[in-house]
Amino acid sequence: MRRKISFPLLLVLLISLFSFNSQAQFYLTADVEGYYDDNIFNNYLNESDFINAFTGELGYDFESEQNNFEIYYTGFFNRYYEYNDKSTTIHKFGAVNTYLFSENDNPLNVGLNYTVRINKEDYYIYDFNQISAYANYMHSISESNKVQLGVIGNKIDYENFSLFSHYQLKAFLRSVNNFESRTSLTAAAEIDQKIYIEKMQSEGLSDEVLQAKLYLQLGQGITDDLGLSAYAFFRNNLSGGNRYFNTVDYIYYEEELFNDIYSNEGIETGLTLSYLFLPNIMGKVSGRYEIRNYTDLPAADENGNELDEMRQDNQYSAGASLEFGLSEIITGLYIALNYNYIKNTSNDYYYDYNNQIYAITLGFDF
Amino acid sequence: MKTLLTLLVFGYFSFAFAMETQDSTQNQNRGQKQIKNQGQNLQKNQGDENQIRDRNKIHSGDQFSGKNSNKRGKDVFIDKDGDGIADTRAGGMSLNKIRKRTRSGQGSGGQGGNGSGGNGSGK
Repeated sequence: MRRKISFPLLLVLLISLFSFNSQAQFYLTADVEGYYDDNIFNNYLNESDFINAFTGELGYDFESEQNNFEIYYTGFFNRYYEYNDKSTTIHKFGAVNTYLFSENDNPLNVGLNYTVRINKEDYYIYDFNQISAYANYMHSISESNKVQLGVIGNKIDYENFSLFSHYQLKAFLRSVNNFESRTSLTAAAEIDQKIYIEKMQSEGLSDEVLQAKLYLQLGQGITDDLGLSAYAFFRNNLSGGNRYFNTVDYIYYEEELFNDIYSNEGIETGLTLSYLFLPNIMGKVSGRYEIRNYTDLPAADENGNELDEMRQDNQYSAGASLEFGLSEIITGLYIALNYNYIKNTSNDYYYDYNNQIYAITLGFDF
Repeated sequence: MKTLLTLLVFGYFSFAFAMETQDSTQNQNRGQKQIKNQGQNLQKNQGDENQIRDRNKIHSGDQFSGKNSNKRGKDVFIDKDGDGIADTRAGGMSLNKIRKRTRSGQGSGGQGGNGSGGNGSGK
């Protein structure tokens, strides 16, 4: 006769297994953020709102000499005051195991997590759940030179919009090199594939997309307290397109529904200056420029009629942040102030906009 | 027998937990743990595309910043839509609010023909 093993018993057995000959401890992080956003939808209509967001993570580590197994939960909640329906809740549960192939180095990570996003009323079409599995390994060639490679597999289900449900496969290779001149160079290449779960085999609806990414970052320490970082990020769609759906009167594109990153390709470049005012006060100033060429989203006129050209955006943005460590009050406590400015120009009038965001964050890492 | 086994296992776990919580307050092996945790904090979320803020750093341009603590790195740019990509993309709009487009003619490069309606009803 088969006996059912109850879930709590299984959990206890699993935890006990990993507790054996190991150290274990809880960790907790939390931050509360409030920000005013003068253009929450990032379009020419400039609708503003004040938003509160809370992120909390609770984890439990089982650590032995060369291995760390961790289970964790992360919760994210935000609340829009004016557009309350846009408020969102995200829950994420996961486990990750890190094995060190040498003392304090060469980690192999293998992980699995599940995420569910819950929206309100009008936004319920965005409800999704995701299962993600991944593995990556970082190898130290020398003390200052490392390479990392990894794969990621996601399955994303839009419960109320299954036309857009998909698998996502990623593979990446990175190298991080540090030099005595306080220079660091990071190079990364990634191939991403999106495969829709529902096959349409229709000329207008793509079944999969392939995107290549290349990333370069140069960091330079100028003094002990001042650092400069510059990066360039290239994305190119190698094949495929995206999807849309029709109602009787209108057409809705995946990009405009989901901010689909596969809908466009282009170049992004940025510069960040970081300065440590005091051991517990860090300031950053950043600038960014991005070109986005949309591969399947036509520009449209003021009546919503599609034009004979694809949408193309140029975006300039600047940001500044100041973070104060408050460990003298409570260990792990900090407060951060952020300001962002964005200017987007587009051949589609709808996406010609400016955006400013003022944010304050109170965080706690235990 | 099964109950006894459960109690034994649970008892062992509770004891281990009590001992190890005590250990944790003493910060034993802190240095090594920090390295491992940093690695995990950076890597365990590489599986997420639509995730919680500051997690997937590949799009932020700051993913390799060597923060010398366990704390997650905050990007200068606010992650507006809370999907973990600290970028400036617009948050999704409801179907009632989203831009109304009509397909007039066959735009170059556009997807001609009749798109499948899928199941995306607004309500």
